[in-house]
Amino acid sequence: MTRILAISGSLRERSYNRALLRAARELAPAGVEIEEFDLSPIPFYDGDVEAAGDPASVLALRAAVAEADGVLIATPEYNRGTSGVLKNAIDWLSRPPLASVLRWKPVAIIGASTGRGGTRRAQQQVRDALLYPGAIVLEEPEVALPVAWEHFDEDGRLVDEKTRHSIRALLEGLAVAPRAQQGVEAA
Amino acid sequence: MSAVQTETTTLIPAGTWAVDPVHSSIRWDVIDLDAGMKSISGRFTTFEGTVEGGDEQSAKGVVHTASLLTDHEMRDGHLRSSDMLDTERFPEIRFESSRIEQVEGNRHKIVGELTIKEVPVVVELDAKFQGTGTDADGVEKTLFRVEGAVEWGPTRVEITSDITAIRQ
Repeated sequence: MTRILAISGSLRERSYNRALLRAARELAPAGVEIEEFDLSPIPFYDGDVEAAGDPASVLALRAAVAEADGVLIATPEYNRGTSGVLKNAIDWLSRPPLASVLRWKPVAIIGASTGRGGTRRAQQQVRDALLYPGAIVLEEPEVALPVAWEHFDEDGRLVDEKTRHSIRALLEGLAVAPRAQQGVEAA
Repeated sequence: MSAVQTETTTLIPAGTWAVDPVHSSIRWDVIDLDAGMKSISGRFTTFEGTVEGGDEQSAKGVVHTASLLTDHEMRDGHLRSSDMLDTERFPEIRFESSRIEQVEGNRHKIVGELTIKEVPVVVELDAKFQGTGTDADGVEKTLFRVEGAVEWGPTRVEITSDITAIRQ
């Protein structure tokens, strides 16, 4: 069984990004299990808080990432960037330096926006933030869904066939990526 | 290589050998390919280790992280702090081989676990056996160089270690 941890950078109950993650659960290939982690209890990153001991919610997030074979992140785009919620979570996950649970962790990024950009700029920011602590970020297929309301039905179910196909392909890539990262660091 | 040279000259001879810290070094170069685009070189001055020679070769060692030196006091302080190696909480970096294979002649591949900040990572190191000899006091010594690298995203740390080990 391959375990994928799903994280949404948008907290809203009826968020299109959470809807994308629900679609991913539905589209998961055989042998792939997707579980969502709710970022709402994660406090703002603060070095003083960290020095006093990592909060329980942060420890839970780190443990969930450590135990997962891969991570699927759905980011919204706010003001041409990712959400503070998501960047903050990545900042916590990047700690401690040299021992981050993100190192070699296969990650796929998806996103839906109500505007025309489809979260491309936000996804680039998330990618940059993940690469520094050493995550392996999948390149393609790109899942950046613009004008989101056109692609979900009343129940928040993704009905766009092309996007469903891309999410499925991305999950297949994420499912095989964990095997590759068990490798050896080359001399 | 001459035809009469025996295989034993390309291997550390059988027995246990202890690293002589006075005549050994562990040096590293950080190459940061990110926006920071920098390189830093440094070394660890306090470490110990043992090597088993012969057909069943193995190696293990411990580096004391607080002995880090980069010839820049403020930087050394930063690298020892919780921002980097966190040497108070993680006083040791450990290595233990899982297998050593002869690649060609005096070149060997060492596969083992390198544990930094209690995170074990499988690494592959290149080793070059330099030779074995006896000094004026009759102490038998062996010399070899080990090279390898570890990466954290865009940051690559290349490690070079020249080891003198004394027969136990």
